[in-house]
Amino acid sequence: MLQTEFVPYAGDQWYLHRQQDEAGKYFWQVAQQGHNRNLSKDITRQGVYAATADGKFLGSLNHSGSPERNLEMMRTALQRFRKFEPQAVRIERDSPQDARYVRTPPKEGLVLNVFSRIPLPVPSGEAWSPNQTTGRDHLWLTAEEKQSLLPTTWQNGLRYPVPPAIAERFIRFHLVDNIRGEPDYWERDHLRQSEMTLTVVDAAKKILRWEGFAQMQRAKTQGAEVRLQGILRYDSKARHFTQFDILSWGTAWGEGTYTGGAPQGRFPLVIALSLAGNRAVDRIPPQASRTVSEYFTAARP
Amino acid sequence: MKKFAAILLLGMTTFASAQKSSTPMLDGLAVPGFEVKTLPAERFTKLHTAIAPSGAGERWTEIPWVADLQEARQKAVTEKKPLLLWIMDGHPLGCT
Repeated sequence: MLQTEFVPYAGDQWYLHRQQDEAGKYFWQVAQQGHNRNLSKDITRQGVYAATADGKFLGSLNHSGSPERNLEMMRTALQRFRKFEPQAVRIERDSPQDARYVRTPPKEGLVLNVFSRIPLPVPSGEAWSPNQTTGRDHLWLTAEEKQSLLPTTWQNGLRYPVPPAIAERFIRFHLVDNIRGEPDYWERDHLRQSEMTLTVVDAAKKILRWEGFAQMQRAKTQGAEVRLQGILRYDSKARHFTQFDILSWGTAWGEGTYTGGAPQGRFPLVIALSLAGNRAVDRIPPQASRTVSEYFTAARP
Repeated sequence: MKKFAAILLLGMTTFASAQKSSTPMLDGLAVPGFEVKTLPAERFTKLHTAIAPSGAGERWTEIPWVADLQEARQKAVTEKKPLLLWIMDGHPLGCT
């Protein structure tokens, strides 16, 4: 039904809530008719909404996690929609966007999928646990940063450090437990020790090995210590990486502001990074790029 | 002596079982702890592959989600359909 009867849109309300442009106006027009309309404006309007293109409200619910409730809302919304006259609304596709909240993948840069898991069984007596889900994010590198990963000369055995800005971005924003929701990112003073290096393992085939570790601690409440290992293959003709597989494994403990329900004590955490594709889902910005200047200037003085 | 050996064997077996049951597993693969510094290539590949989501639980990613709201509205006008807006704190397609 979603694919045939609706136009499915997915978005981050953090941006829509703040945008001063046509998309932002439309969001508020719909949201203020929905389930959170009576809350103060600084409160989230997250949820699932059905609406016409010109903002007529058809239905909404908070994220209930109940397929039955979602289906019921969608059916009701369709019945309401069919009572309306065909829409004669003009949408300004090229209207100016609020530049403060525009995030596009870096041109000629690198986009990596980042998946995280907690490899523990479901606690006995429970059918499911939020810790069984997969954390999802993307990591962005600019074209210049991508080039900076390459060795000065392709010589077997040559070992050199990962550029500090890139290593810090990996650690602070992507070596996190985001399994149950939006994580609190590591601040610089949470970093205890880390090392990340690249080694030329096959100069002829342009293959690099990524190795490293990182230890983070937020007061006494939350921390992680993880290893990293990866294989990178570079196509010098296309000037692009054809493989960028990095695996992180180790231990985490504690939970963040919005990630309650972590396993007790220390628990295993694994993270896999790899090249993203070219679907809409692959162009979703890194969660930490909300504060875009910090995301891209990490490790700089 | 035999009694001591039996106790030792029992103790070793129990220890081995405890070790086995406490090892984190992902899709049948043992997950290393921080004390393991490097992984052999085959184990690296298998574990890396196992972490990425796949299978029936990923069918929602096959839905042609539109991530640009103005584009989605225009599409709704053209196709004479309503919009289904999935709006969360943290992008639903990119965050947990």
